[in-house]
Order: sequence, then structure tokens, then C-alpha cells
Amino acid sequence: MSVPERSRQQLDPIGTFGNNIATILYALIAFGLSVGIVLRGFDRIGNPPLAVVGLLFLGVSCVYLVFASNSIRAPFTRQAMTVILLSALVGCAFEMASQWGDPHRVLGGWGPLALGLLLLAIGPYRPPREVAAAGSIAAVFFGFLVVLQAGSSILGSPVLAVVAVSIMPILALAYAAAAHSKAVVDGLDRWHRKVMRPGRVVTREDEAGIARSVQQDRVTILNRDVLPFFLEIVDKPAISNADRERARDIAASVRRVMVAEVDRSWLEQAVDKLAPATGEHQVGVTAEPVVRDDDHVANHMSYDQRTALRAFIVALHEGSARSSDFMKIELYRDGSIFRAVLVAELEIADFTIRTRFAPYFAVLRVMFTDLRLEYLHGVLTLSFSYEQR
Amino acid sequence: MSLGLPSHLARVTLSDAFQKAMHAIAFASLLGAGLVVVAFMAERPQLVLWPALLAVAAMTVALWLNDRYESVLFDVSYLVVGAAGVYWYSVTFYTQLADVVATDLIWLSLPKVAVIMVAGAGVSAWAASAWVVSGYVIAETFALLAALQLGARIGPDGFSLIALAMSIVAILLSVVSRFRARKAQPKLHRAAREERMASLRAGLELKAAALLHDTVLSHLAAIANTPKTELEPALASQIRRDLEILVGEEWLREVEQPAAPTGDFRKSPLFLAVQEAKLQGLVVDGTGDIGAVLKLDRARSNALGLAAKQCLTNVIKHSGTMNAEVAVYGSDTEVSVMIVDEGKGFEVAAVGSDRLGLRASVRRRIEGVGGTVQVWSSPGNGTSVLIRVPVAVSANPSAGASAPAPSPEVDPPVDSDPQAEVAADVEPAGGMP
Repeated sequence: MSVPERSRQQLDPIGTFGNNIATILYALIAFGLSVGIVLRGFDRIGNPPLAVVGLLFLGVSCVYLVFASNSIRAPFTRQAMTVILLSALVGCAFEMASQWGDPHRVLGGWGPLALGLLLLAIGPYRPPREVAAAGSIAAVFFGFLVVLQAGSSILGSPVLAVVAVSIMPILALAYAAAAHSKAVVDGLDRWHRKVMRPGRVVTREDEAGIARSVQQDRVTILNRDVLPFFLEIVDKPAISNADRERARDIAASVRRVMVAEVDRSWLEQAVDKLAPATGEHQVGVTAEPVVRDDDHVANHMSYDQRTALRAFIVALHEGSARSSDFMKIELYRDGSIFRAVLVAELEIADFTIRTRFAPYFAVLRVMFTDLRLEYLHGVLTLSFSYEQR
Repeated sequence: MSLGLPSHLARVTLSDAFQKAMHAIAFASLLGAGLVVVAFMAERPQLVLWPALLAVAAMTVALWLNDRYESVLFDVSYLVVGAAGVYWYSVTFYTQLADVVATDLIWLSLPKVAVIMVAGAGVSAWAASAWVVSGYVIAETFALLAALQLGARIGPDGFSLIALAMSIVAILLSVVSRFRARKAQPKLHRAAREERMASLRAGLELKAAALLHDTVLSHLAAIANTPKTELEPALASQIRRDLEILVGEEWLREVEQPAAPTGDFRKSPLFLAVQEAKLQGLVVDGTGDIGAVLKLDRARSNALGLAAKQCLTNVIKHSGTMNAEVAVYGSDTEVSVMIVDEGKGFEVAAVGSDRLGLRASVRRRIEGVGGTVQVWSSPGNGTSVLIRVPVAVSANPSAGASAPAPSPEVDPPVDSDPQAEVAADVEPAGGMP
């Protein structure tokens, strides 16, 4: 199983989902400002078509940023970041080419602000070091373009000074994005270490309570048949065939219960908890189980994957106002990986489904990167795969 | 994934992150301002530009202190030094580089942006906005003072205005983002806690199942299969002792008490399991390095010993031979034990799904400590069981740990269905030799 990247999106999918609106707005501002800058000096641009092409490249970059950062397409990859920045840099090159030779336009382009804003928007999705490195590389590239452009005109100012002022927004906003992301990731780490200390999430009292409950369950089983039989047999002078037969019957009965309990996965138990009042899905009671896991693969999910799926199932259940029979989950082995398909009948309008469960989809997408989602005529279908933990 | 921060911490952490981001912009701006001055000094050495550099240096020190020590005192100090710095920087540029400033006011922007990014104390959006606006007003006021004093050109600085606007937008977006995340976050935290509890319970149920298999089912099988009319005194006494423990004590809690592993492999659960099998007449040929088990912690060592004991019991009960080989190998990352017999073997796929021996007492027990079990067997070709236990901490230690039986000297189970005392969930891929 691959190690997740230390980005905010990986460590805090819901928080990053909340940040998605900022990403969209930054992309809009970057494009809007750039269009405004171009329009403001349009009559002085030497080659307007090149300026438009430059804006088109920036537009592609912004649109792709909004597309790739959508939580339903998580995680945001390094390739996506590269495409966005490359497209924007190509746009910058066109924009510079459009006013080649004009000394007054060297510091007036949209490049630094647009690139900086794009990096600021990318911040939560990629590891801080990567964002800082990407910002530095973009700044070097942009600085190189500035040097080239400066060579074509008489600036009246040192080239180094022009380069410093030009690339500063790129560096400043990239480092700001990296610093912000790092501070959040460090905060998450600190909190994670704190709550994961023994006795925080599950206290000693919880442990003792669970142990007593499990033991009591077993003792109840034993009290019914086993204990009376043993107490009787140890004091008996002779063992009869009837005793042997009874021992076999009791063993078979105890074994049946134990097999059923040992085979129940966390997912079956989680689903059972949704409808405790009706007593559904108890062992040997359910006609058609909610969870179908013939290959016993549910337990191969990692703790984080289980947590994400459990939270989503609970949210689905709360949204359905029905017992757990509205949902079917099938899990199976497919070569070296495991696949799962969740189908739920929901009484929710199709267009609200993504909004309503968006935070959960954001988390699930980070946990199961191939998650596919379909919602048609009130039936939600989620399919995903995972590797052995 | 760490589930994200709970809302009460998210506010503080995001506020702290916002400050770090603002200060990063401020540091970069001051670096840029410094570079600009150095570039002009290099090109026009006759000019007196060092006061501007001094202003940038003083502002950098104040910013560093502000970033390092979060207090209103340092926030205000930074604003005071920043105001003086902007004034001094502007005066230097207006007097020494009047021609440059006349063409573009952007040359004066960088120190002002650094002051706008003060990001002082306080976690609320109002506090953050107030600091930013204060920074902007102070920076622009002192730049204006410098311009007025020297009769220089006055004009709007778009660069610092954009910096102010973007800072306010960032503050507002931070609030909106937090609000959007607030609804789902508690549910995720609750699910995480439930998952921990369920995981703990599953581990304990596994222990309990293995324990009941090794005791209750074993005794029932012994009674069902004894050809004698009287119960063996040893078995009767064992049943009494186990009953007292199972009903009267907190055995699930008791077995969790950690104990330091000993340095003597003769006291290891694996060695004791082999010795016990030998006492029951099994001829065990040991190979490899049994000392490797000392690399395991107590829980893993116990799980390995009990699993091996069940495998050897299966050999005695079902294989039709009283010879077995136990091979132990250790590496830096894992300890593996292979238990081989040349007995009658069994059809792995034909095993009944109601059997628990290899499943609960071997496979799940080992999986509970992060290990794996593979079984190779076919009729007439003997059986090999490979148990691998990691030395390092498993991915999910809370999923369960081994459960030593309350009576380590428990009699070997005697089952009524010899061929079937194997795992029902043996993987087909691990299967046939």
C-alpha cells in the first residue's frame, strides 16, 4: 500500500474540501485580474493576438485547477500541478512576447500575480515542500523571461531589481501557501499524536467495559449449556453414550456461534449498529444481508478507510430516514486487490446528492482513489477498490 | 489521514497557519526590497542607498521577533519599526532615485506589503482584518508622509492595495472554508472513535474465540471421543480449573497485561509449545534458529507459541504420524515458523466452514498481531503451515493481540472430525502442493 503524501488534502480531506471554494475564487481572481490588466493597457500592446493567446493559456490553467481540485476528483496530483503551472507559464511567455521591447511594460504584466495566486490555490492540495519548490522553479523561469525581455529594451533600472520585483509575488505567494499548509499539517500531526496517545481515543475504562461485555457474552453462552454439562460430568462416576452425544451437540452449537461471530466483519457490525432497534441483520436472522462479503475482504481495509466508510454509511443512514435495508454493500476479491460496490436507494433529489454528501465523498476519494460515483433516479452507486492493509 | 482537526482546534490552527502565511509573504517582500536596493547600489555606487537597506534589515529583525514570539507587544513593535522602515526606505528612494520612482511607484511597494502582512494576535476574522487594515493604513501613511515631506509624486499604489484586498479575501475565505467543513467533521471523529472501539472489540472477540476453542471445545471433544467410561482425572481437573477461570475471572483483561520478553528462548511460548508436544509423544525435529523468537515482543511471541501449539496438536490428532518438523527463521523484520508433517494431509478446499482450529487459534490469532499464515496440504502428501510474524509494529495493533490460554498446560483438543480440523478460510492460492 502506497504511503499517502503529507499534503493537507491527504491529512485533512474535509478541511481541504471546505477550502475548495477558496481555490475556485483564487482561480477566478487570477484570471479576472489578468484580463483586467490586459484590457487596461490593450491599446499599448504591440501584438494583441499574442496577449489573447496568453490569456487563453492562463484560462486553461485556471479551468483545469478548478476541475482537478474538485473533491470528487481527489487527490490532486503532482501532474495536475505541473500542467497548471506550465500552462500558466506558457501564457506568461505569450503575454511578454505581446509587448516585447516596451520598457514600461516589463513590470506591468499579469504573470507574477496570476502565477502566485495559482500557487496559493494549489497550496492545500500538495505537500508544502513541493509547493515551495514549484514556486521557486516558476520564479526562476519567469525571472529568465524577464531577463530576456529586459535585454530587448532600455529599462532605466538594474535588471536584478526588475527581476526581484517581478518574481517576488510568485515567491511570496508560493511560500505563503507552503507555510500555511505546513502549519496546518504540523497542527494535525500534533493533535494526532495527542489523541492517539494510549487512553485518549479509547480510555482504559472503555477497554475494560468492552472486555467485560465480550466476556459476558461468552459466559452467557457457556452458562446456557456448557457449564451445567461440565459441572455434571466432572462429578459423574461414568460417561455414557448420551453424555458423549450431548458433548458433540454442545460443541457444534458453541462452534456455530463462534464461527458466526469470528466471521462477522467490522462492516457488518457497523451496519448492524444502524438498526439496533429492529434487531435486523442479527446472525441467522437476516434473509438478505446488507453486506455481502463472501471472500471476507472487508477486514482488509485500513483503519482510515474503515473510518471514512463508516462515517459515510452513518451519514447515508441519517439521510435516508429508513433502517439499513435501503443499502447493499458487496465486497469481493479481484486478483490481488479487493473491490466494493455500495448501492443505496435515497429519497433525495438527484441534483442535491453531491452537495449533501460532498464532504464524505471528499474523504472517500482520498481513501479510495478510484472511487466512482453515480446517482440516477434515486439510486446512489459507489464503487471503489483497495489493497490489503 | 488524521481526520482533520476538531472545530475548536481548527480555529486556532488555521489562525496560526494564516499568520505563518502572512509572515512568509512579509519575509519574501523584505528580501525583494533588499535585493532591489542592492541592485541599485551595484549599478549606481555613487548614491547613498544604505539607509534603505538598514530600514529593510531593521524590519526583518522585527518581523522575525514577531513571528517567533506571538504577542501583541511584538505585533505593535513590528508596526512601529515597519512604519519607520517604510518612511526611511521611501525617503531614501525619493531623494536618491527620484527618476526611478517617478516612473513607477512599485519600487516603494515591497516594504509596505511587508507591513500589511503583520497578522497579529487574535484568532477571529475581525482581529486578523483589523491588523491587516492597520498595517495598510500605517504603511501608506508613512510613505505618504515621506512623499509630502520631499514634495515627491503622490499616487495610488496598486500593488499594496492588491495585497490588502487579497489579505481580506483570504481571511473571509478562511471563515467560509471552516464553516463548510464544520458539519461533517464531528461525524468523522465519531466514526473514528467507533472504529477504534470496534477494532478493540474484534480483537477481544478473537481472543475469546481462540480461548474457548483451546479450552471448552477441546474438553467437549475429549469427552465426546473418549473410549473410556470414566473421565480422566487430569481432564476433570483441567475442566474444573478452566471453568473457575472462565466464569470467575476477568480473563480477557488479565491476558492483556504486558510483560517484558525474557532473554532465554527456553522460556519462549514457542519452545514451550514444542516441549509440550514432545511430552505428548510427538517427535519434533527442530531446525533453524529458535533464538529468533526473542526478537518478538510479548504479544507476538505468545501468539506465535499458541498458534504453533495448535498446529502441533493438529499433527498429533489428524495427521496419522507422530513426526513433525519445526523450522524457525528470523530476519530483521520478521520471524517465520514452518511446521511440516508427512502425514495423510487433507483437501484444503473440502474443509467444513464450521471448523475453528486453524482459523481462530492459528490464522486469526497471527493476523491479529500483523502476521500471516499459509497452509499447503493435499491428501497423502502431508501438511506444511508457514507462520510469519513481523518484528516491527503492525499496521493496526489494536486489531487484536494474542490471548494466552488461562491454562497453558491445557490438553490437546480431541476432535470428532479429524480431517476437518483445519481452516475453512484457507486461501485457495496458498493451497495445493
